[in-house]
Amino acid sequence: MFLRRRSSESVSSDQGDNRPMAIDHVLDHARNGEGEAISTLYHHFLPGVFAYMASRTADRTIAEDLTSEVFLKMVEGLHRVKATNEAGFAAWLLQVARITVAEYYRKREKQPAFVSLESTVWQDDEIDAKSLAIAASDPTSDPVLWSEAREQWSIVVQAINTLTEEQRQVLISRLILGYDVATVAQMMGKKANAVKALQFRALQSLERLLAKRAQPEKLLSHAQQQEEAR
Amino acid sequence: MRPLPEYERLNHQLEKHLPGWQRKEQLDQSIRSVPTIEHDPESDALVALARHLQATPSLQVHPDFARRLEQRMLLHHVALRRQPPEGARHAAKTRASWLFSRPFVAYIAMAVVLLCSLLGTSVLALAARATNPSNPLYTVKKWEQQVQLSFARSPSDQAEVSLQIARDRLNALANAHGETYRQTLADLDGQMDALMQILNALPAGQDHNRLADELAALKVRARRTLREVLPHLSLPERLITTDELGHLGDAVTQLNHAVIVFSSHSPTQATISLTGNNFSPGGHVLIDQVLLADSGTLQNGADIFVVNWNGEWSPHTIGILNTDGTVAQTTVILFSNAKGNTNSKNTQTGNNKGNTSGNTHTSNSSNGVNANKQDGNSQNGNTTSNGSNSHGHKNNEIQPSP
Repeated sequence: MFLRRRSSESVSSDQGDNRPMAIDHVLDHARNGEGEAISTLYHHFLPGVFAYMASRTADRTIAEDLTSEVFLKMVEGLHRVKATNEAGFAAWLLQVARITVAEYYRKREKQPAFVSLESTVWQDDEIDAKSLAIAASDPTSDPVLWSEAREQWSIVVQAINTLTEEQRQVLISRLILGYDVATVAQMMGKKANAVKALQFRALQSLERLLAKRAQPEKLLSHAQQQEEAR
Repeated sequence: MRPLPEYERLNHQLEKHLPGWQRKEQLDQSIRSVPTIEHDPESDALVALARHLQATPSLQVHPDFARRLEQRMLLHHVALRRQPPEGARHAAKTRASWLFSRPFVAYIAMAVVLLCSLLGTSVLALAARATNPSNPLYTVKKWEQQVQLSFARSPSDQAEVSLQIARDRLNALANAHGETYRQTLADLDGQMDALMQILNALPAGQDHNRLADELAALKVRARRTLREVLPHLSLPERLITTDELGHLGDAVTQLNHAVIVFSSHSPTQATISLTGNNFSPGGHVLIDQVLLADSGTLQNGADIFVVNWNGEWSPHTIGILNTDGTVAQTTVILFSNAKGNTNSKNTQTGNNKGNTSGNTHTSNSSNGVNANKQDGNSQNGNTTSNGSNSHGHKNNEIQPSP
């Protein structure tokens, strides 16, 4: 199985078949403990794993922590992975990511409840004082814009979290990892049409949820603009 | 042509418009020849949403984070490689956890119980075969026999066990020496007595007769055995063995008293007259358990010995060693002069049980013989406080009878 990446400079596109990397060889080398192979796997799957984490939690720092946890687990569990192709390995890695997020939320639920100083975006439109304080320390950013971007992205994350796990995995696999329908179907053990249907329902649900707050494109573009402004 | 399902239309649009998918989309189009869908408001909105999701910076990795995480991950990888292999760690952990697991402890307990029972059975089996009383296992055997005796409820069973114990003690006598011999002989005597008591309590009948016969046979065998071991024993053991033989009904010499008569002609000679029963010719006299070579003559139911007398002697025991190895002894000693006056005697009750030590002779002797020797000076309190004679003679072993 060869992988196809949507945006990666490391992927050579001059081979014509859009399948520049033999993942089974990379997996073999990584299992033998070769650091270079492990780095290759890391670079290849980092965008997908991080996107999955960032879509599950609005806090970028937490998303990065959870992403780190996933890749450390990957290093520890490489010799146990039975997958011999990219779809199998991606499925395993996304399962690790899903379990890691679930553990994070489970631990957070067990923590004692506290009254947050931060107002949730669903409650009102007040500016987050804590976020402002943090952002104010960064002279390169406009705290107001930064806060707005964060709030907008929180809305998106809330919407994504209401999707089913399968719908989320389809979106990440299709939009971030750039896998074709056949590969995603192989990853999920489903038929191509089922993947397409999941993809359709995921985007449709997302659009409907975001439309309740504002226009979806507006939300995303606004967040994008603020990020770029930073 | 039938219109495509909405999910198919959306997928078609996504592959057409999303960045990086054009090449795939073109391939798909060439393969499947699906109709181009240019204006589908619903699909267009979803495609726009997908494009925004795809491009949103919130889902993009920061290069700094990517670099830091890569370094951290590789360091973690190096640290993992320095550790023992997972298999070895797992095996060690498994071993350790298995070691303290409940089933393992149960196995150990069972093994210990099994081992103890095997060991106990082996010890008991070995002890049962032990015949030497000096063997430590013989103590175990005795304990085992006592347990058997305590579990025997009916008199008949008790008699059987006692009989068995008596036989065992009899067998052990051949290998016993010194104190062990005395103890074993005492045990044998005790079992015989116990057996007699049980027999007396048993009603007349088949069991009684059978046990009486077995006891009689055991007595015969005991007498024979004791006679066999007698020549190999020391004098004290011979004394108690002779006594036991008499207890078993054997005809052995019994001394009532000894009379020592000093000659008026020769102060270095004395005549010892032993009075008692079952004298046999050829016996040798023992003064304080020291064998004198002189042999006696039987006259009127007494055994008479003429011995060379050391004037300093003050004997506590006078005995006789018979040719069959039996020994008799008495502490009732009368001193007399040639005229027949009895001047002195030991008041200690005579016995022939080998009371060879610890006898305190509190004889009040007005010492006729000594008075003669000592110009008539009376001597009171001619005492010796222990059995070790005061004449420099050892009262331990003697040579086998001539």
